[in-house]
Amino acid sequence: MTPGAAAAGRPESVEEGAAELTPLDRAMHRYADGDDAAFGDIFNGLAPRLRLFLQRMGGNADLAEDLMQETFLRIHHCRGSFARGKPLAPWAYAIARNCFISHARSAKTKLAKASIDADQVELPTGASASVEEESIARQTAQVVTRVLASLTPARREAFILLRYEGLSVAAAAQIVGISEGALKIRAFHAYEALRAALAELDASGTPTAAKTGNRLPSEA
Amino acid sequence: MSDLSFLNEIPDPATGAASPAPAGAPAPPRPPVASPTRSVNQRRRAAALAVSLGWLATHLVVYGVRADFHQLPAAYVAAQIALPFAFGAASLWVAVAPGRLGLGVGIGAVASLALLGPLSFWLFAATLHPPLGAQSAHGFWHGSLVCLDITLAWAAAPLLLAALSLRRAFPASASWRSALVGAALGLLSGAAINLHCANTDPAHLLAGHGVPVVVATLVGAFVVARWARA
Repeated sequence: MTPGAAAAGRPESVEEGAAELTPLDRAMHRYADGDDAAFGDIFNGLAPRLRLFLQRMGGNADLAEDLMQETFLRIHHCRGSFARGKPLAPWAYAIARNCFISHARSAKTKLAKASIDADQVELPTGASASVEEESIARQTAQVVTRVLASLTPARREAFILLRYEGLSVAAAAQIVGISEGALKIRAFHAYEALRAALAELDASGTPTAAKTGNRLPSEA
Repeated sequence: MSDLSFLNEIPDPATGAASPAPAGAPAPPRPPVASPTRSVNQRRRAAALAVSLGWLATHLVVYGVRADFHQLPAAYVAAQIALPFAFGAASLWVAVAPGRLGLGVGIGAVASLALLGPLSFWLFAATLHPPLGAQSAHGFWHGSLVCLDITLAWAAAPLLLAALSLRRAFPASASWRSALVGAALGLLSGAAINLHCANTDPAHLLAGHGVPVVVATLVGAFVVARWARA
C-alpha cells in the first residue's frame, strides 16, 4: 500500500487501478451511464478528499471550496468520458488539478505564498494529546505548511499527491503528465526541503512531531 | 528511490480535516444542466470517425487515385501510403485509449508517437527516390500550394469533428493527446493526398504533403486541446 493510502486508510485498489472497484467507483460508473441519483454518493465520497487536496495546493480554504464546486461541475460535464472499468480517484484528481491550474492561470493569483497564513492553520488534535504535544504538533504543522507554500508548484503537487493523497506513483505521474521518474525526483526535492526545515526546528530545541513518532497527534 | 516510504517522515498538517459528510448534512448540489452520458459520447465519436473517413474517401473517389498507382514499387506504396495510414490509425487509437487508470496511455508513448508520426512522414518524403520521376506541370510553388490547400482542407473537417466529439475527453496531458489526434488525422490526410497526387518530387512531398501533417499536429496541440481538456 502506498504511504498516503496507508495513512489515510484507503484501499489500494482505488489508486492502483486494479480490477476491483470500490463502491465509489461503481457509483461513478452508474453516473456516467446516466443515473443522476448516483451524484450524491460521488459528492459525499469525493468532496472531502478533493477539498483537502485543493486546499493543500492553494493554501486557502475558501478558494478550495470554490474550486471543489468547479471540479464537480466539470465532473458532471465530462462524465460521459469516464472510461468503463477504471477507478474514479485518479480521474477526479486530474480534473481537480485542471481546475486549480485554470484558476491560477486566469486570475494570475499569487499562489500559496500570499494566501497561506501558517498561524491560522487549524490543527485537529487527538483526544489524548497533552498541551505540550499539541504545541509541538502545531509548530510542526506550521513549518510543514510554510515550507510547502514556499515550494515550486510542481514539487508541491508531486509531494502532495504521493504523500498526502495516497496515490500511486503511476497514477500521480499520469495526473501531472510526466514520467514516473520525474515525479519521484520532484517529490524527493520537496521532501528534502521539508526534512531540512524540520531538522532546523529540531535543532532549535523544539522536538518535531516527526521526532515524536512521525505523526501528529491527530494522525495517531 | 523505488520505495517512497521515507515520505512518511513528513507529518501531515491537515490530517483529520477530511471527514466524510456527516449524517443529516445538506444534500449535494444538483448539476444545473444535463450532460452527455457515456453512450451519447460513444455514439458521437463513432459518428465523427465515420464522417471523417467518409470525408476522405469521398474526396479520393471524386478527385481520383493517381494514374501511376499500379506502376509504383511496393516499397514506395508501403512507405508513402500504407505506413502513414497505419501510423495514423494506430495514433488515433492510442490517443483515445483509456489506459490502465482511465487517464490515457502513458505520456511517453503519446509524446513519442505525436513526434514520430510527422517525422516519419517527412523522412520518407525526403529520402525515398522518385520511382518514375513525375514532376508538376505547373512548377514547384504552384503544385505545392495546390496540394497544401487540398491536404489542409482534407484534414480540417476531421479536426473539427475531433474537437467536437472529444470535448472534455482528456483529463490529463490534454495537449499531447490532442497533438496525437492532430498528427493522426494529418497522417491520414497526408496518406490520402499521396494516394491522389502523382508528383514524386521530394521537395513537393515535403512542402505540399508534409507541411499539413505538421500543421494538423500543431492545431491538435494548441486548438483541439482547448476543447478536449476536461
